[in-house]
Amino acid sequence: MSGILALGIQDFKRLMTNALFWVITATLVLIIVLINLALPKNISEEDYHILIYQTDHYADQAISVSSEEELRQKVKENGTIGLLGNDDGSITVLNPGLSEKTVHAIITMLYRSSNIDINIERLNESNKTIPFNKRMTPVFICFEALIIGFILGGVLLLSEKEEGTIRAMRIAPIGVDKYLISKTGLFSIIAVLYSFLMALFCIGFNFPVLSFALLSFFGAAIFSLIGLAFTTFFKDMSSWFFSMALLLSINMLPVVAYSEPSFSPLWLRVIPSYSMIFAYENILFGMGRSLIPVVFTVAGWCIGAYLVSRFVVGRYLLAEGR
Amino acid sequence: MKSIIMTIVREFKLIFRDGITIYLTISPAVLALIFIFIFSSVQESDIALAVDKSLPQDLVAKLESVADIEFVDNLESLKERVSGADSIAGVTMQDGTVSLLVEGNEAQGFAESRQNLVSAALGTESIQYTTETVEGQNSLAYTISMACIFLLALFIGGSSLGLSGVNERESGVIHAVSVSPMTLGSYAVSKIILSLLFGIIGVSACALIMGRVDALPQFLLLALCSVFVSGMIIFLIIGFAGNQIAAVGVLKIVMPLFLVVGISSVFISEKWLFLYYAFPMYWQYAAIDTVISSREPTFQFLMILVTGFAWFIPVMIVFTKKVKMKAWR
Repeated sequence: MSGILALGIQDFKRLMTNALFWVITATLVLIIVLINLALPKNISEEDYHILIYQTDHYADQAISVSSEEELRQKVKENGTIGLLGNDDGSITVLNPGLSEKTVHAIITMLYRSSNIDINIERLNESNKTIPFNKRMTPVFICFEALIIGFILGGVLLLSEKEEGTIRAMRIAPIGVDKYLISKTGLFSIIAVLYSFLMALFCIGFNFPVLSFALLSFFGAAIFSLIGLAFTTFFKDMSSWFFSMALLLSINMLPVVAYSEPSFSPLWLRVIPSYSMIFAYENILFGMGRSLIPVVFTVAGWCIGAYLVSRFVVGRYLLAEGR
Repeated sequence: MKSIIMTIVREFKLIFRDGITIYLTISPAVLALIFIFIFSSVQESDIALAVDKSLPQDLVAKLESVADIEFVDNLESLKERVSGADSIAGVTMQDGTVSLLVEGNEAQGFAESRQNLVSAALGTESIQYTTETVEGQNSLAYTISMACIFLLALFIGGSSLGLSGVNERESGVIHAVSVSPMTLGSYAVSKIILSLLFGIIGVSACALIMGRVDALPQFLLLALCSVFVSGMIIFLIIGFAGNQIAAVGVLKIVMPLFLVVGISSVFISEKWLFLYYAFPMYWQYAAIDTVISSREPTFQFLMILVTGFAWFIPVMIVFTKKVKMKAWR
């Protein structure tokens, strides 16, 4: 335990004396200002019109045009739907490549012959629409605070390689477990503080702190462990930085599903940040969803990341020294 | 001239020593491929509804014609599914009445739009029509994503050389250069030429992946006109980072600056847009937007050169002061 603590303190001292740590602090301030002052509370929905030519449909949202050419041109320019009435009375639906079912859904709503009464039942009446700027907080927590260990871990590991500290570690009584736990523990604590400050200044204090801290700690641990395993294969900062940027860009893809929650394909759900971003939304805005699936997902990723990292760091960094 | 060529060759060897830089140069093209896949997935995605077994088969068939249906066993499972992280409405039948279950925190209008859809689908007989796809202008999200990819390709070119310069600074090579017969101009040219080469490879790969071979000459011109922007990136990184760790910190500031400033102009009111005219990053974005939408980008190219040069000079002054390199000798 004292070995792990000593390694952690040593890493912390090195971080504090480095410009990168202060850059991260400045980023935190910038994010808080951005969420509270720059991002709008509401984003207006884009006006969506149906264009028609020679059809008998005149709904509120339909705009009539004077020629087929104009219809085609406007559909092309606006990426919208155009209804073209043919001479034989049939309709051609001009669309920018929407799926067959989506086109059919639009036509069905436009040409409905009768209405069936449908009751709406809201499962959680207390749930309210979250302001857009506040809803972005989980995005910044997931893609800035949680990945801090990935970046700091990589930087420290590469500098240890450069300074020759790794060689010294190979002959010192430091096992791979101590090495991983000390670094992961330190970065996870930093990530918890980072994400907590972000949440505190953007959302307030009205959220379950323990669930939040646990999610931040283990979420950051996953990225720290993946980061350490990933960085093991690099020798210089340049290759590492841009490869990392590419990997983290892929990790950011779930933001598409977060922005458009109706779009959640399976391939997006397997990315680790998918579960976490929605779990933060759940915790910070009291959505009332069960956290049990997230616990299993995060635990699974933690164990997997630890085993992979243990193998890679033990085999290729501390044993061989790349 | 000979010293410039020798320096370029040396840089080239150093950067490509581990082989991964070749891959990194074309990595924005890989990202472009992923983005294109996502945009086409979003475009082709269907509306999703969850239904339980209480709904008669004929009604389910009607809903299946307008949405992807997920089947669950009972009302409890339906509630659990609707409460999931994604936005999906559930349809069930209680006492002969069809009900729509929503979580309550979805986007504004979500429940009403799904109610309209389910109501129309269940109450409408089949409608005859034909469809025709009209290839439209790219959406704003697509244009922004692709602009980001091209800017990243240009950025990687500059920053790779910047990081190599930081390495030189850390190991003292830059000090040796400053006392050698090599002038500041030769040193800058040797760095910038190689970064342009990377930029050209990067944007060419992106243009090919996007299927815009027709616009390849314009993208190459974009890379060439960004000569001073690449210079700014290189010498900002070397100037402000004394070692490799600090370089990552500098990159963390410089990277969003060069990628986001231009793109942020899209979200700014037109009356404030003039504030962006002084930044080459804005003209880079404007040029990419113009090329993607098949318009004439000559003015934007010229503005990249002019504004880029105006910013490049102060960056070089700061650089010479930071690394104590004389501009003239």
